[in-house]
Amino acid sequence: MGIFDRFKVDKEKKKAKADFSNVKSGGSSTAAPAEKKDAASGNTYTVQAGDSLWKISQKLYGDGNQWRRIYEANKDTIKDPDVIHPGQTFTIPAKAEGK
Amino acid sequence: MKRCTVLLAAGLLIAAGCGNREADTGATEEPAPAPTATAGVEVTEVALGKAVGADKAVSEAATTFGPTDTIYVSVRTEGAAPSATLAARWTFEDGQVVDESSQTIAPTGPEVTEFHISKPDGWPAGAYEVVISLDGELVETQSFTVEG
Repeated sequence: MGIFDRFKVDKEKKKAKADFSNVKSGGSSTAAPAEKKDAASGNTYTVQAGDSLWKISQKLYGDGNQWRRIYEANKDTIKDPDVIHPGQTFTIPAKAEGK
Repeated sequence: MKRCTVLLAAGLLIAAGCGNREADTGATEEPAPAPTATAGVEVTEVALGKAVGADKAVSEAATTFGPTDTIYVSVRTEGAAPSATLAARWTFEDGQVVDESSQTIAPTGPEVTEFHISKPDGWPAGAYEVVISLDGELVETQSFTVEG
């Protein structure tokens, strides 16, 4: 069998496969989409094991140096910015303009 | 000859020293992995069905579907993470991909995420599978059939 014959057979095999090109798909969740829970939307964040304010700032703003914004917005629950606990929920202020 | 013996002994001592060092390295405990964003999230249940409720959980469980059915899979998760990606890969018979979709969620506790597929001109009869993965890691595969 020549290479062109083989190509023809492969093409026919592909033709025989079911056509799923018009399948419609979707989904939803009880959880908030992660994209909406970013800093720009002014949301909340639940502290995970191993987090620090710097790490949270890095994760949400892409800049760890903005940790003070989170600290300032949550002074009522953060007594010492070096000590935060897993499970604590912080308000995350909107991302600073131009950063 | 004496010099050769001394050199050989020195060589053996050096080799023994290296061997010991390797043994020491092997005995060293590996550092604990740093916690990851999704370390606390796990899939606890995957269910197939023909409908889901407002809570996104399957309300009409099924593993056999008709050609015009919308097929749902609901994925129950536990735990919290700022970002976790659930994906559903649907395949037909010999692995032909029917559809792939994903949702990136920020779970804060027990959550349910549903995926669904439909085909306006009807599903071909046969055996199908849906593979659920969390952050790229396969967590469960469910099989179902469509009867013509």
